[in-house]
Amino acid sequence: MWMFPLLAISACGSFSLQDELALIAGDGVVTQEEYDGIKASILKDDKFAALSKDTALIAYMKKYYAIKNINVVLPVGSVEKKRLFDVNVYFENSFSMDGYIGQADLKSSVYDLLVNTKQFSREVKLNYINNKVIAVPSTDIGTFSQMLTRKSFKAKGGKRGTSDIAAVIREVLRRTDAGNASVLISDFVFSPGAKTNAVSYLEMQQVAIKDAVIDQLGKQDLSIAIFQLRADFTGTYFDYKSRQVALHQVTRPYYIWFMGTAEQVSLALKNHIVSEENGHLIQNAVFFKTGAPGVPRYKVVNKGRIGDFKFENSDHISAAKTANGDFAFNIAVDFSSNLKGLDYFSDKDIYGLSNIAYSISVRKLSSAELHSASFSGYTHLITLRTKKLQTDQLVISAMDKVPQWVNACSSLDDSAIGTDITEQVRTFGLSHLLGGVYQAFGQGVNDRKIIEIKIKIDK
Amino acid sequence: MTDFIAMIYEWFGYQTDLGTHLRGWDITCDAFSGSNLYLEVFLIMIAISLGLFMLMYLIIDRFTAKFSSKLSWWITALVGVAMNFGIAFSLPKTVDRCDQLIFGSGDLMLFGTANAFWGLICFILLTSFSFPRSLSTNARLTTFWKP
Repeated sequence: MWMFPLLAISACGSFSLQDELALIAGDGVVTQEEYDGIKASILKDDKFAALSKDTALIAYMKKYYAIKNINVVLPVGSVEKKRLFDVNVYFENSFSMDGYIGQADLKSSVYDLLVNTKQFSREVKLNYINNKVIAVPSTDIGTFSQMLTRKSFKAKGGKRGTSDIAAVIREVLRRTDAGNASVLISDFVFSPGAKTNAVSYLEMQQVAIKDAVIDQLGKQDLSIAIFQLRADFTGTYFDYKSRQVALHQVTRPYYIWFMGTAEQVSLALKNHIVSEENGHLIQNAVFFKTGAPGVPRYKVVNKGRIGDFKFENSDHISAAKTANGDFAFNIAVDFSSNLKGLDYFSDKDIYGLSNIAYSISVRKLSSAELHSASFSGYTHLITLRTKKLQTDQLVISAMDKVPQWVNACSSLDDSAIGTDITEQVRTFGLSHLLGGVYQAFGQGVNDRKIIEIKIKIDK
Repeated sequence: MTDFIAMIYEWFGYQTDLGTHLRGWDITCDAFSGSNLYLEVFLIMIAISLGLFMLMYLIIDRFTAKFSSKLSWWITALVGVAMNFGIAFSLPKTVDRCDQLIFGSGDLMLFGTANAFWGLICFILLTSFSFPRSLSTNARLTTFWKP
């Protein structure tokens, strides 16, 4: 008899989050009052500690309603940031760009870029840049894109014969601040000149670029997104010895840099400032100052495990057992909010592990997986495997590195570009160019960890 | 509490995934924020044992002295075994599960067996000591081995 009150108390005290969520969604709207009621119940129970923040609870509710196919209006939504900054676009119009502007590819991509930029900025201001900045009085982006011609470049003036890339970058950065983000469009091909040692020149430029970025980092919160695009090229290419090489209807890379605060760069990326649909975008790289490593949303998943384990929590497994001496488990991670982009995190070489007995592999989740209940809201699947299972706190770190494509697309000798097809898709000195940027963002940082994931494993 | 219940039930050897489901790994596969089925099943098992005790020792006992034999005890206990098995076998299937957890009817049979076993033990303990058995008039001496 004495146990009845105990049972009654236990029964009355139990709170089923999912039952409550189903109940309040009955009328298709979750009111603020209903939301507050759910949150108050959650805060009373340690079991729901992970959902104590509004963002986590809203994310959970969205996921739950999506899985259950319940259409419901939630009280808290994302509030779009006001457009509080201008974007200054600088088109580098040295002679080396003439080969692009006679073709439609670059013009359409620039036009598209400007249209996209207009969507999230207060005003788009247009400029040419060579040895000086030449402002375009009109803000008509359509006309600007059409007027990318040799004739108009010549009419606008400035020295178009040589391009000191480090000086161009410094000048654009000098004009960048919290209220003015910058876009720089160029082929970024260094011009050492016939009598200069090319490698020495590149190294000097790398240091000069690093210096320019460090100076700007001292003035503002700065991040840089670099997009590599392809475009048809017909015209004269100037190789590293300033020899003229005629190229006819080849595809050449060029670059769009977006420079601004981390928030502005994030906004540019979210708004797909460079569209992927038209097929001109090849790769991108994002650089930002790394502080304490970020912690993405992640969880251990059951799928693909070798051996057995119990869940203690989404980041803690216990009773881990091997199968024929082998043990493996997967972690689903959401990298969508990181500026580096999803492709960056698909490279297993950026990861470090606290226990070298584990091997790591990583892949993006498939389209089918992204639509499944257990993987929706996550982007990647990291697989960890070992033959030496032990009780451990496994730390998986993602490091800030120059993406692999940079070295693959970089050249130190472009003299055979007229005949060598592989050279035509490379950029002379690209690794030095981005190396300077990378070094600048790492200055004064001991540890370039950008992400840290911890998994507790108990045997 | 849940860990203790999980431990004594998992001796019966069903899949780890069923245990994860029973501890409340929810439909989103993100956290143990679903129903704690271990606790629910355990409390229902206790309630059934208490209910059957009251039915046999207090309610039926008021109307007849005939239902106080060892056979009566075993009939009541087997009703409890059947109920506890049925609840443990069927309840986990009624709760939405994480789509990555794999368990089948065999695992649910083992969980049902575990619940039936612990229900029987509970009923034995409840009727083995003089209290609360002494509240009964005719069955106050009836246990699973006597009279």
